[in-house]
Amino acid sequence: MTRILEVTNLTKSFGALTVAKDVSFDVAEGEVLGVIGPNGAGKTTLFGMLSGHITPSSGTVRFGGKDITTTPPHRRAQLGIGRTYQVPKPFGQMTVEQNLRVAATFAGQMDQRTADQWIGETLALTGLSAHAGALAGGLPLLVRKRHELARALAMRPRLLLIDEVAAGLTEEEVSAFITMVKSVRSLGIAVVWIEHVIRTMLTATDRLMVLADGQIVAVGSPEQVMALPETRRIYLGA
Amino acid sequence: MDLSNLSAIGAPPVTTNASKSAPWRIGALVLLAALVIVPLVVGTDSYIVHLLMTAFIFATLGHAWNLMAGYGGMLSVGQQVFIGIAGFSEAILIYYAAAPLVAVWIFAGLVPLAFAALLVAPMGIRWPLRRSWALVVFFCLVAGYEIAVTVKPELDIFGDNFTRRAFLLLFLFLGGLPLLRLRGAHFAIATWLIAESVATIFSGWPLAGAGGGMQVNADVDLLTLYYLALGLVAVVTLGIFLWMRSTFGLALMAVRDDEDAAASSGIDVMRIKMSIFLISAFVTGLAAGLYFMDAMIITPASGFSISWSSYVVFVVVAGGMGTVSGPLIGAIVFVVVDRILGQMSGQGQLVLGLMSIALMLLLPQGLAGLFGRSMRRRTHLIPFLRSPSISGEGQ
Amino acid sequence: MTTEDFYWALIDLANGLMTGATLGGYYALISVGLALTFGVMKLVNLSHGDWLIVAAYLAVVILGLYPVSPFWVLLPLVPMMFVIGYVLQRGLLNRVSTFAVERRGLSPIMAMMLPLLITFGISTVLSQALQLVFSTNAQTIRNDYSFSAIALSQDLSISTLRLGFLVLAAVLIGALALFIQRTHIGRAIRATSDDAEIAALMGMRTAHVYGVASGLSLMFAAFAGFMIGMSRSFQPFDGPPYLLTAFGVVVIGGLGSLGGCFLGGIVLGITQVLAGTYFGPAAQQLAGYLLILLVLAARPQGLFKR
Ligand SMILES: Nc1ncnc2c1ncn2[C@@H]1O[C@H](COP(=O)(O)OP(=O)(O)OP(=O)(O)O)[C@@H](O)[C@H]1O
Ligand SMILES: [Mg+2]
Repeated sequence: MTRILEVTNLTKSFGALTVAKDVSFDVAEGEVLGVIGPNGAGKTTLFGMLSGHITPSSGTVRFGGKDITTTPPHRRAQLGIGRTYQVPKPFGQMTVEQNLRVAATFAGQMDQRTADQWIGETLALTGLSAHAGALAGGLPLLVRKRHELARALAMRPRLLLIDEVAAGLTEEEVSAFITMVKSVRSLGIAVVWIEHVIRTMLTATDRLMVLADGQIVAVGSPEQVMALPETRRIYLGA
Repeated sequence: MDLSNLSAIGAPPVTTNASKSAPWRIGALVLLAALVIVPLVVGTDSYIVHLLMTAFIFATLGHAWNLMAGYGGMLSVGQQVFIGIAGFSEAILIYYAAAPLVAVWIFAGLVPLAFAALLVAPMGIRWPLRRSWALVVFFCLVAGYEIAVTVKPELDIFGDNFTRRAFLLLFLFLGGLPLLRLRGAHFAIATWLIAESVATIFSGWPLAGAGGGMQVNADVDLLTLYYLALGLVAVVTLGIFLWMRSTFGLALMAVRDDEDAAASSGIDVMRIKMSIFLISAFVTGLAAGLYFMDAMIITPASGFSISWSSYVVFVVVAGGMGTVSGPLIGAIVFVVVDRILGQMSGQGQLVLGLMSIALMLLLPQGLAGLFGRSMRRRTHLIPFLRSPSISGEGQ
Repeated sequence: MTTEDFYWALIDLANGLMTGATLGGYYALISVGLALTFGVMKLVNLSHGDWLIVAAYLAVVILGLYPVSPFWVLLPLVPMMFVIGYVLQRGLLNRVSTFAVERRGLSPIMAMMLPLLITFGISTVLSQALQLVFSTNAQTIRNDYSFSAIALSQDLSISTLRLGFLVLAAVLIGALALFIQRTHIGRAIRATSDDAEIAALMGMRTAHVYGVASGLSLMFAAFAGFMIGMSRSFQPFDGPPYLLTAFGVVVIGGLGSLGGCFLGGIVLGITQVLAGTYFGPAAQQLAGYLLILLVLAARPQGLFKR
């Protein structure tokens, strides 16, 4: 399978604090890669470097075979990298439909007709059709998280970065998200999915990556990785 | 489409509805036609014509500020820098070159535009070039200036050494300043500082009257100014109205609501901010150009006064931030309060200040919000007085 | 260069550094109120400068009524300004705090803008009101210290007033720091500035705490205004430059930190005085503004933060 994302030796320091050390990994087309790790492991920072909001201290990011290490965020979005935020960042004064339209128009670069259709599909897939006309700023938490996912999907990305959607949700709501991620994958979109509550994501991921203190501790199939003593130490022993 | 409904802060832009738009279009055309005829009815030199012209100018200034603050979320209290620069450019061009009216007017818009371009240019250039850009600007300014002075000594506009250096230094700093990256109070204070710094320069610049000010002998009659101002405000209003309905309007609102998310959604945030900053400067310059042709005199104190910002804030806040009709409504209120009531009491600005505080408390959406949105909005008429405000009180 | 030239260059530099450093105390006092409201409630009070001028005018009025030695005026002035600050916050500014605005269903942009716009409006009102009452004539608090100086050597001297104010600033800011660390209300202020929502949940009366913070802010404005009146003349429209300077000091010193105000004040003071020494008096103000712009652009987190 071709690789859509190739990360090599990515390193980031904030002053004396190194948040990512020599991080290297690949994501294949259509693959779901789970990323887990304790608080402050550097997961969100890693996403920031993939989406272009944070400039790495060193290392490279390649997307679809192109070096995008210094490409600004909006260009990366146009290339097909969509991301959600751990703390949702809706366009609060716009409707849900308009939020999605922004992504479809500017990142997805769709014309009006295509956008209309795709926005409709995205709304249905994320179960937001009923909220299409609501102001995004006034949505309740669960809906807000779905909206965050929906907006990233609305640009029809090739790679979707999901940052902790399951935290604080009930069992049922989590399984609804897992279903959504599965349907996203069936559309041929590759996914990198950060999550804290690991069990929730195991069924939907092809591979799992463990990050601690800015370093990759383990990568492999979910069963393998979960069986490793390092993973257990981080998650159970700490 | 209902003009006043258009994307007030706090209300989503209403999706276009062709059948609803007709009465408004007709209304706007009738209003425009009436304003064209007014001078013929009341007499071309009438006080009313002058008041209306003032209203047009302030509505335009309001539009320009609203574009930045109301739509773009960039609160500037330094619009006076564009106003002062426009006025002085005009005065200088008239005094030294005796240029024709239209050229003078365009110049009054172009110079602030160029200044704004200088301010935002570093943002348009990718990181590695940022520092060198400041140096390039600096060397170009110094070299250009020195060559010009060598060829024609009387061009030495900076007089003594210090002012000259300070002037160039100022541009060096401003050229390297990532102004548009600042947000909230930092942006506001930065714009104010820039205005004050430029005002300091103009206070000592012999070419511009060395602080004593200059005359603006544009040799233009009131009627011409009236129609120019009317045309300007009409074009700007229509332009913003159309612009906000385009995809650009969508991008602008996304940037205002969340810059990071906007970038992640494929919007070039800096380009959007730069465009509105530049347009705001240009429009402000054009309006100020007309103002000073009418006022016929400009001093550093009048051109760069912070009062300009408080006027403009009043116009937009009274009318409604982030609405197309807001500055129009606000300018009428402004003229009534400041020019009519104010001239009777001599305390126009005090009243304006008090009114803007009251309006922000009682009616943060402005008068446009009151007219625009049926009865629903009216239930929020007195939002801040009714119940205690921050957490912890009265619970 | 002759030894004589060299000597005078040194004297110039020493005088500049010393004047600049003592000016630091002056600037610290001007800006500490702004730093306080910024630190506690993220409020940048754009009318801060005008309150300094109001305090200076009040001092002149009180001294006009009771012609005593000028320092006594602080006795009524300081509590008066505290009360004004408290009332202003409770009556007006609390109604546009981030919470209030968000609770009213207005957008976050409004939450960012309303406090700025309101305090900007207050600034206009204050300066216009001062002009209405006192006209635009320059005023000053008459005193015997304005011109006295302490001679350190034949060619080096230091203004008594400036030195006095440096000491005063150090004492007052130290006292404020102690107050915030040791007293009950001080701890409440700190808790609220860390996280107002949690503080409110823990039963702190946020509205009252904000009121006290604003009161303290204007209390320091009283000291600063008195100091301005003692050392130079002032007019109704002098507020904005003080605001800009104060904001600059707060930014240079690292937003909201009290000790930072001192450092920021000294850096700004030295920059201005040296610019004035070498480029003439016109450069003084401009150099200050440019320094602030530069710090805003390059190090918005302040010069002294890592
Ligand atoms: N801009 C910044 N400046 C300084 N330190 C930062 C910055 N951003 C993040 N950090 C630090 O980097 C570390 C990693 O943060 P990051 O948000 O990437 O962790 P995370 O794995 O996403 O944690 P969580 O599970 O809590 O979301 C943390 O210690 C954080 O404090
Ligand atoms: Mg995180």
